[in-house]
Amino acid sequence: MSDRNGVRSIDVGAPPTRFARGWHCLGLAAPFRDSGPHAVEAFGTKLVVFADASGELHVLDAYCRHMGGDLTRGTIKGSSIACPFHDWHWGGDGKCTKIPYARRVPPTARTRSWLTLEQNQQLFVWSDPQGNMPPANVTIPRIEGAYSDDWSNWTWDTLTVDANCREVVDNVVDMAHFFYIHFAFPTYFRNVLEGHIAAQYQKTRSRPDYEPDPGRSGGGQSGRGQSGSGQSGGGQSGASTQIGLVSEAAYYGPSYMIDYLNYDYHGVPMDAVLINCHYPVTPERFVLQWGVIVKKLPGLSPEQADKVAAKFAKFVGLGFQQDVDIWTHKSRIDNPLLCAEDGPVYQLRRWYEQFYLDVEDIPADMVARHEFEIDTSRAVEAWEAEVAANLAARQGASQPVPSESGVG
Amino acid sequence: MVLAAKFSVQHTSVQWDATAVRQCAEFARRTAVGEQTPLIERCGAMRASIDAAALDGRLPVAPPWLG
Repeated sequence: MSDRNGVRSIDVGAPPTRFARGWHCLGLAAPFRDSGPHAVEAFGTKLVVFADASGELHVLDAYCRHMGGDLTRGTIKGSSIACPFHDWHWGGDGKCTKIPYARRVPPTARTRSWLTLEQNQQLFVWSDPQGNMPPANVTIPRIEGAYSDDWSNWTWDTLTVDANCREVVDNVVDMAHFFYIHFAFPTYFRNVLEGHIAAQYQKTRSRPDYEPDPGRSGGGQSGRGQSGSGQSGGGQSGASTQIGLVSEAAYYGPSYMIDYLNYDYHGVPMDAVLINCHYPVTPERFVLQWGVIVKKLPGLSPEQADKVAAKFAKFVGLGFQQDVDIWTHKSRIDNPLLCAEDGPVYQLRRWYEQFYLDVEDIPADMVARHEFEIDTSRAVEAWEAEVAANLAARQGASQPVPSESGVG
Repeated sequence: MVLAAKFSVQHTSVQWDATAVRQCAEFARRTAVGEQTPLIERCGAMRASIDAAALDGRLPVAPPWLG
């Protein structure tokens, strides 16, 4: 990777032409039930989303197999979507249910229907180039707060990004960007990658040299934070110092992350759940989405709780916008040059690759458990003193050992 | 089999294989009551053995490009 002068080149690679296998969130479910059919541009094509007579949501390819008409510009009739071109009716399972001007529906009249799931008040579709059903253990977990009156309603925001969606997934292991971009001070950062799940555990505190705006936070996938208002007399100890954040986040599959957050809001502990998810439009474009619910503080009305959630969502959005500024101006890089304090980028990309391979072709090491941790609360001086004491107690230097050791 | 590395005092990396995950007693206790291993943050016993090896000098603490 380095030339004869030691200069290293960027391997730009190429985005995969197939799309990730997995559940993808298309948005909050309720708006898809409003009025007529809805259009979603995703997976290199266009989808039509519509509610049948019982309110169940269905997703079909938007382009009618008759003469290519756009079903998203059609009409829901009973439990079918009728094409605006020649009024062919298509049911939620993809079968043509009626052609008003014809005696018979041709036996091959079937279009692609996408398997759907509603969970957490959100609509998901299953994407799989191999056309298989999802395994039982590959699903979207239930978020109890999404069903509870003790929590606010969801905010929901979207942003179309002209980049390959791997850019947002890379962030799950990027501890350094929380420090430099969020002005967060991670004291603990851990990843566990295993199976179809990629988890991130994080504790941050306010930087001693920077007092963030109370109520802001960064966790999970958040991007660049505002440099904005700090406390006056910055650096003084007071009620607002040591604002801590605890974040436990995980991708369940290639595109949907749930981030459980606990942080200080004006000195009061707050619980929030942040969804960071996306779906691909093309290999070079994706739609990024984020949603927030917050647990109601005692005495807050539902409207006030929704306002708190909206304020937090706006802050998260500012962060994501700054990430987007990076992604839309950077080069794709398949051979990142890492330092010893970087997160496990190659292991994360190896985990992510599983969604782009046929199920039978996934090697064992791609889904094997990998753990990475940086814990800055471990004081170096105290550790070094303990090592010296141990060595002195053994009355001799340790033997040289290879840099990776089998343990246990 | 489990591979462990410490690039610095604050850093720890652990790579498990499927056999090791199955054999871990702590994971087995927790999966028996419905947890999934990817969402189990760590095995305490594994971590203790890594910490002990690092303090004893059996597990070197150095960035990956040294030795």
